[in-house]
Amino acid sequence: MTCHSALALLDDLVDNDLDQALAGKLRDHLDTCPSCQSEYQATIRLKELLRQSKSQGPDRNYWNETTPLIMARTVEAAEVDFEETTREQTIAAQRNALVRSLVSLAASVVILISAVLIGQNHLPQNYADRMGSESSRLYVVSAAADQLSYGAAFFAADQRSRLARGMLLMGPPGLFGRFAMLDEPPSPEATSEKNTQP
Amino acid sequence: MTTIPELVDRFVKGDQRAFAELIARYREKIYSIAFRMMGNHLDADEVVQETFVRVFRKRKELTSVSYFSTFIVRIATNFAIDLLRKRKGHSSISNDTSTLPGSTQLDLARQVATPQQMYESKRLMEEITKALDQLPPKQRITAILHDIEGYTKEEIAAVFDCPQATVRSNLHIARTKLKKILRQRLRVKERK
Repeated sequence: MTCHSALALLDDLVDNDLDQALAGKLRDHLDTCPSCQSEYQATIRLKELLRQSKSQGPDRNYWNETTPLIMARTVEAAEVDFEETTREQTIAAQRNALVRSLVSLAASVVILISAVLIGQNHLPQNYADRMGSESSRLYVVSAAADQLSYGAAFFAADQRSRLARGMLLMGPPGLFGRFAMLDEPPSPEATSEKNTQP
Repeated sequence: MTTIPELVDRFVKGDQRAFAELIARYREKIYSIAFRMMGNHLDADEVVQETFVRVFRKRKELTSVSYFSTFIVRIATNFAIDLLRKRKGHSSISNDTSTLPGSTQLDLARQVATPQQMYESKRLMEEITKALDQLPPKQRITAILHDIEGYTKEEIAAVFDCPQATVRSNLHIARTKLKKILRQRLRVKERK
């Protein structure tokens, strides 16, 4: 083994990281080479010196002061952030719910007005007659009323008639709920018989 | 006694006491590494606090970490290296041991039998710290972890996420430089 190879393996020998065969060859070289032997001994002394210089570290008083500081910067700070985030999320959720309700209400009003305007021009006359003569009650079923199981709002007679002409069977979901006709519309056969009679 | 993996598992799930227990178990080791890297108590204190703060913030990553020891040492050494780079590689070595907590000075006094031994012990610590300060950060931390803290080359490779050959190389270069700097103490004959 050459000095160059031996010096490259010295650290591993000091650290007991060499296999037995290679360690044996290296020790044989060290026995015959004073220079490499000197370097080997210096490496052992250096390692021992460094091991002895390991600091004791601060005592309990230091940790009694430092540990609460660490907890304040971590766990307690995270709790404050969590509470603030939760509060912000709650406010945002409430705001979104209000906006959704207002949009739904606005959409309901638009559709209602549109239904009335359309119905005035498109209802067949015989059906309009029937609606004018019979009492048909039109229920506006609100979502809240469904849940509470009481009451229903009635429109005035002329309003009912116009709504019926609109044949609005399904209103928008939301605050105003659904519009429904309780009486069945006339069958197509009855309507055509009536029309063909002299 | 609760094992480290159990503590880590509870910590990840939000158990504050598990985090406090992990601090108690690792604070000495992190302080020791930090003090050797930075050379003074104030900087070591900063490294210790910042290490645990970063461990807390990165706790979600712990679910994919095999060894907490490697994880926390990596955080500590990376922060210490960053701090050293801000100071252009040199630590602020405090020769005045009054920067150490007063009780540590008392500990040093209690451990040695005579004032002469105490003086020698302090001189040794200063000499080693000055010698380590002359090494680049990576070589310095490799020597500290291996020869002072007792980490194996495999563990150091895991800390730095590098091959063991790189650790061996850094350690060899560090030891060669330290032997040259401390040759008086080691009574080393220079190779011709």
